[in-house]
Formats: sequence, C-alpha cells, structure tokens
Amino acid sequence: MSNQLNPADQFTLMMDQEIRSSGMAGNNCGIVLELDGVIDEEDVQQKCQAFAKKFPRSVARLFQKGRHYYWKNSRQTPLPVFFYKPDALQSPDFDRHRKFLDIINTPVSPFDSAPVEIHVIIEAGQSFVMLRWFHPVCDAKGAELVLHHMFNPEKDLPDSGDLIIESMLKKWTFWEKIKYTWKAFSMIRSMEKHPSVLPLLSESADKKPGLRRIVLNREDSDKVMSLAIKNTGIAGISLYFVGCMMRAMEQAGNDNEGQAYCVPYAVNYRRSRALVPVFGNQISFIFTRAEKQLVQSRERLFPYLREQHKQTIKNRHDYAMLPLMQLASWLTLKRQGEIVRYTPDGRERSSFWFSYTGNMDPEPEQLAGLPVTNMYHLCQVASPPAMAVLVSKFQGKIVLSFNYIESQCDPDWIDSVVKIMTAELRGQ
Amino acid sequence: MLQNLKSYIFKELVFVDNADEFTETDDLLDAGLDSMGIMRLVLYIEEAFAVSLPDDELVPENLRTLKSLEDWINQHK
Repeated sequence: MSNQLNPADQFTLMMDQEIRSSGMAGNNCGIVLELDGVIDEEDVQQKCQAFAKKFPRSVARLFQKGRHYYWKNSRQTPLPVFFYKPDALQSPDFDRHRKFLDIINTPVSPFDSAPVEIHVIIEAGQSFVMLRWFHPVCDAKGAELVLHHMFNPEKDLPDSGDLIIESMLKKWTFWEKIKYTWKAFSMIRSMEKHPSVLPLLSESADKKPGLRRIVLNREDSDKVMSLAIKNTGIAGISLYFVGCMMRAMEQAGNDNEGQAYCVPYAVNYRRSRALVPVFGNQISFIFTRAEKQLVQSRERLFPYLREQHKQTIKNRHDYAMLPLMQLASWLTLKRQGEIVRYTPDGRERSSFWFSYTGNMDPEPEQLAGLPVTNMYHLCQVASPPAMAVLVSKFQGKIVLSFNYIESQCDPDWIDSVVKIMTAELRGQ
Repeated sequence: MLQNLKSYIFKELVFVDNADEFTETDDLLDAGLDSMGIMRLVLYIEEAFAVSLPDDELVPENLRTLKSLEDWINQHK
C-alpha cells in the first residue's frame, strides 16, 4: 500500500485545515458502539495492540515532503487506548455525549499523533467503545472495518486490498483527466448560481461541537426506507434524507439570506461487503442542490433531486472530482480549501454536509464478548456551514446524527430541525 | 449477458467470497448491492447493452437476481 496520501485523503486533510482554522480541533470523526455489560480492559488493550502490529497504518505518523503528504509506518508504536473508569464517573453531572464530543474536539498535532484511537467509557453494567479516527487515514466505511478487524483477530486477515482511487486515476489518459476536471469545474460553478442558505447564527470565538442523535425504531425505519424508495428510488435513497433535511431547515425558519440549499456528500467506491482496503479514503464527493421554492413542495422536490442525481452519475460528475482533487493536491491546503468551499466572491457553497453510510458493514452482534445494542457516527464540522448530518443503519434501525457548532446554531432551532426532520422522514 | 452482468457486479460493486458459486437466482440485494451500486449498474447496463431502462421500473423485483435483471433488459431490447 502506498504511503502517499491519495487525492481523497489529501482532500480530507484540506478539510482538517479548514476545521482547525474555524476554531475546532480538526477533521476528527468517531464511531460509538454501546455494549451491554462491562468490557474486559485487558482484552481490549491486547486486541488494539495486535491490530496495530498487523495494520501499522493505524499508528503511522503524517509527514509533509514538498507539496505532498505521506504516512510513516511503525510497528513499534502502540495504539492509544483510553479508559474512563466508573469511579471517576459517579458524578450525576457526567454527560457521556459531551465526553465523546470533547474527545473528538481535543486538538492534537496531525503530525505527532496516531490517526486511530480507542476510547472506552465504563458505566454500571454498560460500556461505550469509541473509535476516534483522523479522516485522512480512512473513510467512514474504513473505520467500520477497523473495528471489525480489531475485534475479530482470529479471522484470516486479507491482504491490504486494491488502491481503488489510485487505480481509477491511473487508467485514465491525460485528456480524459482534463475532460473530467472540466466537468468538475462546471459542476462547482453551477453551485454558484444562487447563494446557499446557511444555518449559521453568527461568528463566535467559542466553538464547541454539539450533537443531537435520533434512533428510529424498526417499524419507523422500515416505513422511512419504503418512503425513500417510493420518493427518490431504490438508487437514490440518500437523497430522501437530504431532501427531508432541506425541508426541515426551511420549515424551522432560517433568518440568513440565501436562495438555495446546496449539499455536498461523499460517494464511496468500495465494493459493498469487501473487508479490504481498510485504510485510505476511497471516496469522492458530489453536490445536490435545490432552490428554496422547490424545497417547499415534497411532490416537486424529490423527483427533482432524483433526476439531478441521475444526471450527475450519468455525466460521471462523481468521477470528475478525482482528477480535480489530484490536481488540487499540488496546491497548498489553504488554497484548496478556498477553491472548493467558497465562490469567487467569498460565499460558502454548502448549506450543510451530509453523509449516508447505510448499514454498518460488517455489523457486529458482539464486541469483546458483549452484545452491541447501538451504534452512531459523529464528526466535526467547519464554520460555515456549522452543521453536518450523518445517517446510518444499525440492526435495522435508522440512526440520525446531527453534528453542529453549539455557539453558531440556536439550540431551539436545532430541536425544531430534528423534530421536523423525523416527521418529514415518516411522511407526516 | 449473464456473464457480463455477473462480472461487472462482482468486480466493481459487490464483494462475495466466491463469485463463481453465485447463481443466477441468488439474491443480489441480500449479497450487498446497495443504492449507489444500483445506479452504477443501471448506467452500465444502458451503455453495455444499448437499452434505455425507465426509472419507474427501477424496483427490487427487477433487480433482485441476475435472472430478473436479464429478463428486464430483454424487455427493452
């Protein structure tokens, strides 16, 4: 496996710089698994260190050489594992979610720390395992694979897997890359027709991540998936969530100016159910966008988003971002950020960031011998847009994570958005 | 046609332990064919077999197995 960050890795490193420059800790993400029972600390330690030996990328260090970035692997470095013991947590004020948010918002140097960490909170009869990962090392699906390989060490380890992004870029000729890059520029330019609606209240020095998490029951989850297939098609399920979120923001009221909701989201090139590659971001990203007038009507919005998505894929706009990211990797991270996030007159393009990771795959029934009862993703976000919505499925239940910057989003407004979003998803 | 479909699906979209043993009546959705994979598969079919597949026929019944995919494509040839 190459030690150089691929263009998608470097894109997420650019986002790390953007998040840091907006006053947060960086492009850190987390998966939290809730376990029924008290976990064996020694067992977790052993599994983590065995994983680090087999997958040295998990404890590698980032370094810069010229314009590009690389990982320096080491088989001698331990994987950081932190336990938060019950005795220290007896305070009634202890807020578990706040603890997880503080963990991903603790600033560490991207060059001097491991890109993967395990944090375990142990409470009475329950344990909460959080994988914190630095986004340039892997995407959300890769993070699910880290947990899988870490806690299933008895299984045969596959090889490191294909370099998906690198292979795609290698097979294109110079002129094909030029053609795709032009497409990508056209797509980005089309986002500039109307200013984006932003959830931002105001710029504030005090920036802390906030999280609202909703888990729909199985019955509701089945109903939502049926409505998604009905409204945006079996090939566009994520668009149903994006559309409902646009409508929730619109109905919750938004005092900021803006004429359209513009939403960037990742597309993943991994083969479904593949256990490798674990590391490397195997993603690109695309935008979906709708003007406010369209957002007011479900009947008009969903067919519009569906057709837009079809044209995006048909015109290979998802592939188009790859050579653009490769080209951009020769620029400084700061310049990359300016080009991708802002229009030439300085307006943020994104209303919110979105990610639909689908079913956790492989889905663990048990972790370290304890039944897994719940799972959710969390992430950091730059300001603006100050909000990222992550949607996943676990044990047949839809999990919605609303990640935002507390001082920049009115808590009543967030509550309202979450309430309307869940009603919209149910078709109410 | 079946071999082309099978080759594309298991090379590009879905990983299964032994693709050779996957039959034309095995369930592709259970095997892991997801939303984005379906979109890519439809575009591949339209290009590779020179057919146009209507959006309103993009339903699980037509996508469930290699055989149902083949039948669906043949209806539009």
